[in-house]
Amino acid sequence: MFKLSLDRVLKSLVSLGISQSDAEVYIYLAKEGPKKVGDLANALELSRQQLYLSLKKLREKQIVKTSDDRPSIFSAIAFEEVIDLLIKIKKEQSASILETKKELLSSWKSADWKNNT
Amino acid sequence: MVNYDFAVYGRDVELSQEKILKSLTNLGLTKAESKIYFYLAKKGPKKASEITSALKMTRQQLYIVIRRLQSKAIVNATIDRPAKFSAVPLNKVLDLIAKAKFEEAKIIENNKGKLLSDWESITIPAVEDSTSKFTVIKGRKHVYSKIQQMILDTQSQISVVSNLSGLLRADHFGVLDIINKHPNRSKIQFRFVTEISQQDTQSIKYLIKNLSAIIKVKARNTDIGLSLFPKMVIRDNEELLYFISPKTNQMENKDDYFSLLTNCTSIVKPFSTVFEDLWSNSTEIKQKINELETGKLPPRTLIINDEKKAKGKYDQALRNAKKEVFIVTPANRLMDMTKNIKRFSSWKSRGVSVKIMSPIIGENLAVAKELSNYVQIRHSPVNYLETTIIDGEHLFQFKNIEGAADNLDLPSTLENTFYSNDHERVTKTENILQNIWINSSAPSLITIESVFNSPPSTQTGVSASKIRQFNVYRDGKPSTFRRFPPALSPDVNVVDEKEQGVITEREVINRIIKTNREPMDNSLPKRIIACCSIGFALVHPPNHFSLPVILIEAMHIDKKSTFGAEDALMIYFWLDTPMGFKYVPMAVVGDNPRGRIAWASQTKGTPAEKNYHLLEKDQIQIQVYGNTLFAEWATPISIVPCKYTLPPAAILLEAYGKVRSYSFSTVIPSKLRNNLAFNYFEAFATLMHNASEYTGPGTDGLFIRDGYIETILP
Repeated sequence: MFKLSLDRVLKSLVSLGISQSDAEVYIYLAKEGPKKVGDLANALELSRQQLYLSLKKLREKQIVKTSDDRPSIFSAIAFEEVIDLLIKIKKEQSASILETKKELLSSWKSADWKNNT
Repeated sequence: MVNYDFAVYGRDVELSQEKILKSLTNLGLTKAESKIYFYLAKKGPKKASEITSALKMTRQQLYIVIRRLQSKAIVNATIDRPAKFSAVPLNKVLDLIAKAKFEEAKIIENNKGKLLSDWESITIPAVEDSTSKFTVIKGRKHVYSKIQQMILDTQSQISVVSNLSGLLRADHFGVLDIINKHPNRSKIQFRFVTEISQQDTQSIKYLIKNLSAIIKVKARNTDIGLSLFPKMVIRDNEELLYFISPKTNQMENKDDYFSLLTNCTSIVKPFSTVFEDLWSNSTEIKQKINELETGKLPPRTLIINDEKKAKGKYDQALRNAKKEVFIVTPANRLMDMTKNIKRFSSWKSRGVSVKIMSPIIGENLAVAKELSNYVQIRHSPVNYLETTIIDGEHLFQFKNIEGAADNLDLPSTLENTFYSNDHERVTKTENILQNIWINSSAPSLITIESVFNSPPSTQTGVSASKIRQFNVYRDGKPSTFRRFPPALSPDVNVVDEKEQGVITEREVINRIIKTNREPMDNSLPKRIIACCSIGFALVHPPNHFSLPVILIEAMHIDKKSTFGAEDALMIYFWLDTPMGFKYVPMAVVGDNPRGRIAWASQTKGTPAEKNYHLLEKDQIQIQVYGNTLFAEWATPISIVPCKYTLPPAAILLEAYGKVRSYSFSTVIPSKLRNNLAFNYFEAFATLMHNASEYTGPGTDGLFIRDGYIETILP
């Protein structure tokens, strides 16, 4: 039962463009509260290098924040906010495609295949 | 100029191509996907080989990307062979992606509630459980709050062992109230084992009533009398809280609360097993309450695993014996009993009737005789379960150790002792034992040993050199009856005597194996060989046989012996002669006509001389299987001039203990030489008769399994 819900949550996070391992970092942070990198590395059995990479990507997606403390403390935004963000992004993407459709099609016509790219 | 124009054109193309690829990746395509899509859209349908050479990629890489594009429905494949791939027009692709994104957003929006509840139900157990934890928790407050947390974490069951005061105190401090807050408390089983006494019935009832109102509770009472009652809480066989109370078990002071908390499987698991053991050996608390309130003790049947506890209970029951103690014990345990001779004298002085049944063998005969000053002792066949019944109320049965019947050195065990005070069971078992008792015999002073060696020696077993001869009465005076070899002359010199250790079992057998029957004419051969098995059974016949003590010698002579095969019996009586009690050869039966002369010479001067009976082959049968000998006769053997008749019956000799070997030679002045070699055992003798089966003690039989008798004439 828990396994299934975890799978569904992971899947929705992956559809936001978050990799599985990054999603796991997010879930742990969101569930367990703000953590230092060292604590995260111990709990998740990840190397610091892997962890920094994941945290960087999560920060870019704006679902993980970092404090100004030294060492920095990472915290996650609430899962509900993530869902809302997810919906917002999807909708925006859909709208922007339709908005830029004409422009894209005209440049598409003028573009030709060149093998040197 | 042309070149320049071309250059400008070329740069334009490059720029727009880059721009296009970028906008494709913005739509969610990867770089490779964008490139292939763009190529196909501009160049039209292409075969895989054309794409790979144009885009400089391997076929494998291509297929992975093409498959993704196909699944996104922006590249199609034709059914040509080989297949050609074509791109879906961009405006369609854009609509498709925009629509898909919007749909995804809708789906997530619709499922938001479900996702949020999924999120709530996620716990992170894997991360927490990956390492085993040991924590010492000190102080009542902390211990109680941990127990509360364990209760809340419970998925299926919580198991508790505690004395009643511990449970009541926990209840008093509201520890158990937390159960109310458990969302799935109806699915949880709460079990506890405690120990209650007379004054506790009201409080335990109150506790169970309170608990039953909020959770499924099962309680049992243990009667094992744990001097230091262990206290523990086990959650779902995953987590253990074990109380270590260093100073006192009472825990009056809140600082006395010390407990070890662990989720280490290799510790929690055995403790769970301990709990289950304790649980299954305990009684329902309601039954116990009833018992305490009515004062009636219900019957109990249980296995006591712990050796010390079993010994404690056993010793206590023996000490408190009032009327009767009935013991069935293996031969080796009988020998241990003399260590506790005080107990026997105490029983005797208190008038407790004690009956002991044990296989009586050479080794424990002396012990049996010593014990018979205090108790009644009888021989029982081997392989009875070691059992003690006290006052017809307590039944103990001990696990027989494999091989203990054959090996006297094996220690006995009290582990897994079976105990019952269930009246029906105890009575039934006692009846069985009584029946065996009635059919058993007391160890007799007349043992097979005394047959061969009078008076009975204190040495263990039959001394090898004594089996050559035994004390009989013949010609109206006592004499030494030389059975081995048959006494052809009184002046026998024993030479080349080899006792156990000098001659081996193998050597004796080899002599027999090497023997071949030599063709015989009418003249007396120079060398007479008998390869044989011989059983001696001392029988104390049941009263209705109207017979004195009998010694039966059953001889099975192998067909490779000089006179051929023969099954024969020689019967001796233990008779009061003018010289006191002696064995007297009374009769011989055989089934080989040629054996007659040999028997006649052997029985000269005894009643047996006139009591030779030649039987048909099917009227007498003596067989040897491994270490047992079975002799059966189908006709009554009349023994004149006495009024006695030995009815048709059978004897069984079952060897026990270690094989002994013995060889010797005899020379008489006429230069006649006898070479003899034996492998022999002491044996249990059983007389089987359709009216009764009688089993004699191990001191009643002697079994020569491998016998070699060679006579060389001068």
